Amino acid sequence: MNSIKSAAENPRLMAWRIALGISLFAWFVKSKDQINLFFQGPDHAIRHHTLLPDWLCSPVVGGVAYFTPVLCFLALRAHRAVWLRLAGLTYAACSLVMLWHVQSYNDATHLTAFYLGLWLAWWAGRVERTDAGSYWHGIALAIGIISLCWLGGGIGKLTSEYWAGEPFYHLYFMDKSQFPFSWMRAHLNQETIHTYAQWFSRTVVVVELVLATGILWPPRWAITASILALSGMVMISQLQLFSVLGSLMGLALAVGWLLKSEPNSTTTPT
Amino acid sequence: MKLFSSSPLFKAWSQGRPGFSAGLFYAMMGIVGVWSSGLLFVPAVVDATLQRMHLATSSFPAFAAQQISPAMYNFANQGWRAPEDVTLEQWNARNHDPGSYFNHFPVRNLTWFERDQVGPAGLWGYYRSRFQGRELHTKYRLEPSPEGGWNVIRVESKFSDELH
Repeated sequence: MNSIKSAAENPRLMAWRIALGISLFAWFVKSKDQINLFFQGPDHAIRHHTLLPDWLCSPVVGGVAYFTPVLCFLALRAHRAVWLRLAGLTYAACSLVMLWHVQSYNDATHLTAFYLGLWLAWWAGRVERTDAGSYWHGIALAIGIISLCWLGGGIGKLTSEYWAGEPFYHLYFMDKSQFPFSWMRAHLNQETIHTYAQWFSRTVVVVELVLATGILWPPRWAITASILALSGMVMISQLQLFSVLGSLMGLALAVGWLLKSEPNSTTTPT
Repeated sequence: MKLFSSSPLFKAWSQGRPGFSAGLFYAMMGIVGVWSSGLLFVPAVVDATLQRMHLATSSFPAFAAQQISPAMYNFANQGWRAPEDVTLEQWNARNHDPGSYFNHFPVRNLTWFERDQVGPAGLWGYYRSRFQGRELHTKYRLEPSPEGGWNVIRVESKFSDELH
């Protein structure tokens, strides 16, 4: 087993910890909702779903998959690659179960966490290296994950309803109770709000598709633009989207940390 | 070109080919990216993704594989819970609340809510998702399970050209 230098001496280890730490915080930020949903009691639980195997309807399976990543907090203090890799694989495996479980398949938190977990497991084997190859592949994979999520979000909105602003009009401008949506409803007429919703929706679609090409940009541009967009989305949603976007923010900030210490050498394979 | 040459992808590959595990990682993301892009060009991908949104995929493995494809706020999705059992055609003929939008997976209005207020007769759920003219309609039944709790049964799914 490899023992790794401390995070203060090793920016790769620090980047690993930044990514996991922010993602875990985001994962558990909705714990109260998850507990309420998973543990409604046997009289309210879903026993069977037409598509899913019954074990993916079990509240016990869901609860275990949701809470097991608590153990990954221990890896934030670990110095051995094997523990880092185990934490990454555990996080990815739990995320995958959550993506399939009847109580959580709809929550994109687990999708972003799944990719982050895979990246952590892969990067764990590279934190003790100093070669430029693994360094740049690590950055490319991290930014690739972020770009992939922008791509999936953007392409699925290329439909007339999103171009007309209809879903966002209902989901945000009519349904959200916080500022600025509550203020708009109190001070603007429906037609004006609809126009704002339309331009908001078009902006979201265009920004997502532009950011999907971030893998082809200079890395500082790509992560700066993504962090700005992710922060904007978190603020507009009043932190409700933080659980989903936390893993992507963690990855972007980890890349930012890595970019402070670019290696000069070109050596070992990745 | 200069812009691209400073991208991490270019810098990484100019250092040499990735190892096996990194290659697998790139391949997985490439497949998912191609699948996502297929929404624009391949009708079968549109149908499969609409079915995924309604948990109406033909098999669990097909659904499970699709679940790693990002689909945040995809499609125009609407869903309603109702106490009455009607056909999809009858439901669509009615004038519905236009505000019942869901960012994704509209079926969650049966699976992701606190069911303590649901009576012993259960409920029906009616769902509609649209993408570039293609529209999927699905009807669900939330019924009491003999073991206690609830069963979520998909009654039928039809694309708009299959509705009478």
